[in-house]
Amino acid sequence: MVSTREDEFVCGRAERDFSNCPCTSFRLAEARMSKLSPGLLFIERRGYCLYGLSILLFVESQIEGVDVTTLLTPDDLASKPDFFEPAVSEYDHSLQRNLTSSPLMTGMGTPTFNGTQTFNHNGQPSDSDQDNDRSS
Amino acid sequence: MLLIITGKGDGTVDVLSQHMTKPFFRLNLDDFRNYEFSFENSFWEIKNSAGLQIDSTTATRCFWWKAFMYQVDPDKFVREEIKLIGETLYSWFLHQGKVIGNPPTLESSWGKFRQASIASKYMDVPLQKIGWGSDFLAQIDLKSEWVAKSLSANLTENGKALFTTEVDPTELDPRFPWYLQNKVVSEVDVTVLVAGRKLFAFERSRAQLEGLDWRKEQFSSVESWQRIELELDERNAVLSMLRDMDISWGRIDFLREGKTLKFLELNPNGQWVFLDPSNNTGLITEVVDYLMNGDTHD
Repeated sequence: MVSTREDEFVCGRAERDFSNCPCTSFRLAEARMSKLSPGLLFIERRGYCLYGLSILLFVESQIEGVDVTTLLTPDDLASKPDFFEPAVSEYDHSLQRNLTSSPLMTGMGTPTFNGTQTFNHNGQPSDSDQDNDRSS
Repeated sequence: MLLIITGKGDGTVDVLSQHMTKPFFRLNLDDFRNYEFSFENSFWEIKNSAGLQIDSTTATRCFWWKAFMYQVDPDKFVREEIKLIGETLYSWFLHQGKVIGNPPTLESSWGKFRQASIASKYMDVPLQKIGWGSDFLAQIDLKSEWVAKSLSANLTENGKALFTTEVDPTELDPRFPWYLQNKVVSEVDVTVLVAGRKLFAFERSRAQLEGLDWRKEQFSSVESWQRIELELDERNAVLSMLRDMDISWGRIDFLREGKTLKFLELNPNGQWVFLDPSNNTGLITEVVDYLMNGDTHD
């Protein structure tokens, strides 16, 4: 198992820029790992502004201790996916669609149609390619 | 009349609804209380709160679009009842050969390896392995490069997603199930939407991607998909594969390695609007035409 204990923190670098956004927190969007040498693991984390006003607000790189005798699990390899807040929309039963939906809203960078996995904060995927039953 | 069984928040159906050329009826299973529904013996009818209606005498076809991706109801009993009613209604169309698109059960009943087996008759398919245990991992050819993927696309207990990630098989815990695939070095993603006999191919450069999986950077990347035409031999290979699979709807993912298309997977109900969200190439119009006029099946 990868160790992330604070006392094993060797070095770090953080870049924050909240100038475009009033929020002071961010959420982890992805983390990448690579082994530099036995016992050392390079972890880079990227976070995104909670309100989406800035794309990349946080980059952290650090070297953490890792027990090379342990093995990687799927969770070790996985990372937090992009998240979105579902827009509140008014459904019109005569038009049979949500009134705030338009083709202009569906370009790259918008949450509804982009690819395979976008999750809300409850972990509910909104645009999965899969047809698995997620309603339970 | 076309019946679409889906969820209230589905953006794809929102887009379709703006391009429909004939009357259609949308049943949002997760909003069932805004409909009147009755089904007795061989007759059924549905009315929505705006007065639109469809019944077994006016319905000519049915398209299932991710209805179970939405929370149908917090009450488990109600939820399961409504889900089964949705399936019962869909089966009415299935038995009459009036389905357009694919049933929601198709993906799980097919499986990745059956797809890959058929695809390999007509095109290159990277070697895939599913398994666990020390013997399974020990038998993996370490001269090749490997990526780990998810079969189910579910989140881990910690709320994380396993995107396509390059791995060293010797570092993997044998107690977990692994879906491994030979790594393909490619500069271009290619995806093909199948709608009836028509193929709509798009490609996207991977040059700006930081990772292996474009889905991981879907919010931060500005790279868009470009419409392309497949080479004649590629088109024939895809059509032959689809004929063998007896599939007329879905999205097929490839990687282009040099001039070779490498088959990755077929998503029987894959998302597609993101390929041409403003209908610049007419993709939405083509899909509407398929849904309204394409050959139905059982």
